[in-house]
Amino acid sequence: MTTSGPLLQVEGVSKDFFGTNVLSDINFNLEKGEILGLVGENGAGKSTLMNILFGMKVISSTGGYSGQILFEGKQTSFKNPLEALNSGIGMVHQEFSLIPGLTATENILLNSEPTRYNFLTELFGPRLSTLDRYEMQIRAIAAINKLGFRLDQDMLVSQMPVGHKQFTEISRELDRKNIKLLVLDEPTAVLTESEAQILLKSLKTLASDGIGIIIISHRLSEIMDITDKVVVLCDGKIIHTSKTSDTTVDKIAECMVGRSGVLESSKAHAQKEQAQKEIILKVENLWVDMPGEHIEDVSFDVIRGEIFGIGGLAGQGKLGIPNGIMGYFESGGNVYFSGKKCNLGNPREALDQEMAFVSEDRKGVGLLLDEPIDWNIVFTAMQTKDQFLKSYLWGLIKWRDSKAMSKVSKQYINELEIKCLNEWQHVRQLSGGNQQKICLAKAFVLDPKLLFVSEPTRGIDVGAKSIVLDTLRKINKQKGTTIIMVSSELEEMRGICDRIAIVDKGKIAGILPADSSSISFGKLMAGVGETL
Amino acid sequence: MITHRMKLFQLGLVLTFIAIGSILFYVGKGHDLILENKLITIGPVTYKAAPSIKLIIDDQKAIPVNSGFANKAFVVGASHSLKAQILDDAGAVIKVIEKKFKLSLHNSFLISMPALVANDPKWIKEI
Amino acid sequence: MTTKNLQLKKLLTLDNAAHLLMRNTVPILFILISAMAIPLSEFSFSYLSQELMTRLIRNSFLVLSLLIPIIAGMGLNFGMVLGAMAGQVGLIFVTDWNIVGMPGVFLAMIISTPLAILLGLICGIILNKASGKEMVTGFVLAFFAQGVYQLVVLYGMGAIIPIERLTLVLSRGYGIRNTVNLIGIRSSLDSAISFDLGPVPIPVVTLFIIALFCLFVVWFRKTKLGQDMKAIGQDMHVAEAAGIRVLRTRIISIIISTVLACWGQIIYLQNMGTLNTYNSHEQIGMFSIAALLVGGATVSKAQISHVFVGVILFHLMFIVSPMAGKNLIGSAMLGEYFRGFVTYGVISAALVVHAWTRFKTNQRQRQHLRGN
Repeated sequence: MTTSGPLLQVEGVSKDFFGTNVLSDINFNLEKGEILGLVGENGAGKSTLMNILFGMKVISSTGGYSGQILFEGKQTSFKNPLEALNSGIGMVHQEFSLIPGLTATENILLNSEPTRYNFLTELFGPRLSTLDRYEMQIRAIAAINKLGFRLDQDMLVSQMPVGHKQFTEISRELDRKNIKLLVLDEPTAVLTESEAQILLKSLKTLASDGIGIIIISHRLSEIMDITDKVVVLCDGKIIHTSKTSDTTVDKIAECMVGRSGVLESSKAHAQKEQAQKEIILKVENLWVDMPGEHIEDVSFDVIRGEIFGIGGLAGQGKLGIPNGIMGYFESGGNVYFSGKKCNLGNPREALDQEMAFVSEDRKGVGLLLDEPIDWNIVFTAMQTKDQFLKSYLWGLIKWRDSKAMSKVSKQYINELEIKCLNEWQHVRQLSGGNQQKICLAKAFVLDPKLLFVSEPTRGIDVGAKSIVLDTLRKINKQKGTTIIMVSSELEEMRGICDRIAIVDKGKIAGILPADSSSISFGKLMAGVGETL
Repeated sequence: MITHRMKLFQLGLVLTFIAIGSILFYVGKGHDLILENKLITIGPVTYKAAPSIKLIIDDQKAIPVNSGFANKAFVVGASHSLKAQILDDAGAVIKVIEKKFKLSLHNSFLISMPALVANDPKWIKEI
Repeated sequence: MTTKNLQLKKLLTLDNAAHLLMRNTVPILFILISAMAIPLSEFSFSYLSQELMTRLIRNSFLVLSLLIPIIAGMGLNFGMVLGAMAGQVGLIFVTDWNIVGMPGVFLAMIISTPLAILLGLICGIILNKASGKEMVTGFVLAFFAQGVYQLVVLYGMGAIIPIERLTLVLSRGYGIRNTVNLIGIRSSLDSAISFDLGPVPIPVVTLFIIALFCLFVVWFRKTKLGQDMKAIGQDMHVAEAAGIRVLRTRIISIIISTVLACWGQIIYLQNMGTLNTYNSHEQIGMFSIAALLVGGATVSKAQISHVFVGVILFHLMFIVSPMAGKNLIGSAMLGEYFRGFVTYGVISAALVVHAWTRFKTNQRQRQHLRGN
């Protein structure tokens, strides 16, 4: 029964989603009682790897994977997460899988509650047996004790502080009798310092009991602290793997961030001569409540005419900054534009002050999908600046000026090389890259003083990427438009920005000149860098 | 997961309910009784109207079925008993006939007083 | 222990007192209106208590049948009308066969239960496909079922389905009459064992059945199935991830509710004594749901206490408003308008308050994430 070999063997695992390689030739082993740290930026392939391990439908429905995974010496082919669970693999996700109105005990034992027999189960099935509350308490307390954390098992999850929820979630996995491998996805993301320490200590205890543990995290200090092995993923490949004792934080940070196959145009670019360093945007103690990208307390200054980059790992908050300043989500704090205080929460005001925003949510916020190209390009300008309108009767009647609309559309179609039939084609029919170009054109038409661009090159092909970046450079140079660019592509930003801020845990971890080393950026993202 | 055992129990439950249903049907069936005290022909024999009768069915109040007239009663269930009090012109009880009878599942029955008095086996019939 | 103290302390803060007031707006509103209308109606206490007792036993079972879908997160089961229809079909047959008394009532329950299970199954499957919009779907489904019911009862019965007693049938030869006299089973449950508490007759058997049902609900909540439904009602995805068969469980909750509505309608009709073949079931959905909401239940939370408080308050208003209107303005029609206004008004109010409190709760939960 007990194999002497490794607990988990991943051999030659590769996965592609409709032609795009997401994982290539992943190989690593995990022994019983070993703790492995899986590190990498989002998009590096960590979640895909875990989805494969767990037999999630999203893998099998998109063509499966190649290579093999051996658990306890046997090849696995889980058809759904439940099979993985029953085989002894537990996963603690980042988003909590808890029922808010139930107590910790009830959540820990959800769907595996001990029950008492009654006659009706003969008739209608096992689900009519009553819950054995006493036994439930015993099992819940046992699971909680394995963690070494004091959790009130009768507290409703909805009333718990976030850290307790995390521990409840983990207890649920620990309650399972045959748990052999535990995967934790960013387990300390929501914990305080002391809670994180308790968790790490209990993970070490669990490992000493023979449970294999995989921790997905970007907190390099924690990785160095408790893991035995580190695997660094980058762009779907294992770029670095070693025993933790044989490597350093710097090395891991460098691997995390470094790229191959970078755009040719993103070479080190000349430092701009700033004759006057006028601050165009001053942000003080900004908080933004954007679900998933939450900003706690951010302060920074942006100089007129510069290209300012904002980077950081997904979910740490970088997308929240432009969304908050432009008023898309509830926010607070002090933001000064050209010295004047802004009223947050009002997109119209932001537009009137000549700030523009190309949102990362192309389809949701950026485009009117069932309208033609020329409508989309001129829309905001028409609404906020009364442009592209012909007015009659001393301004009482305003008609659309189709000729002007057509002219400006043709201009941008040429400049940005938008592939379409004509300027009246419906935007829904265009490809992602071309849709992005239209969003940009819409912002360019406004001729803003400050342009926020959020994930400008996400999901578009290489050719389109370079056109987009070149156009941004051009309007920055020719019109002096200040650009604040939020992006997950650090290398891209380093090729175009003057300075780059890194957001971690809802705060600014640091602001560095773009030509600083990858390692320094990596460390800021991993929460071990020096703060500004 | 429905096991064989469960299926067996469920079948038993359904059968029990059918059985209970049948019992309820039998026990709760209401019958209209038409009580006639008129000329009636049963087979070859013809009976003339009997004298006035007071009919007591089970524990109900006495129902007058006068000579030449009809009345009705309502009973529930299958087995019943009746007491027929034959009256004279003054209204005093001359004779008492007691009978026990079982009703089928039919809705209405006709009880003929003359036939009852004459003890004809067909004193009660379905209609 | 500590959790309870915390909860008590929370209760006493002003913000939470306001929140409590907000959540119970509807029952409070009803108490106020009734308090004004009762003296206006000039009804005696004994009359009111009699009427209320009657309505309590008549309607409680139906309103209780709404509890289980709420636990399972299906919202207010407007599809209970289907169960009522099944019960009525059973009663039509029992009346046709002339089965009277308590046996008649129980036989009606037995024969209509398979039909109710089938209707509940269909209703549950359809509601599953309309996840997130269960209530509106149930509402429209009830309309559709009305059509099917009429097809069966107005055209099928007497023609294809044999009906013995022609007194039940319309003069054209097929189709059931508009009103069916349920004299056979009238009050059979109620009068079976009954004693008088002052002016008020107490029907022991019916109350016993209602009490049994309450015990059933309490017991059901303790079973694994009840716990699964509670989980599903709060978060379907988490329940699914934990391995609970969500779709199947939701269907089960609807089937249970439909069967109970079927029995409840039979109890209701045996008390009324007359079946309005084509109307009795129509309003029963709205009235039962309105009564439950008046008792303080919400779309996502309902207790047994809400049922009884609701039935009493709602029907108190019903009894009192025509006379109050007559004495106040001289027109008893005010009562009629008031009934309709109140019923629909209270359901709308409850739905709006539910949506708004859910939004506010989400906001409050995110409060700690916001700065300052």
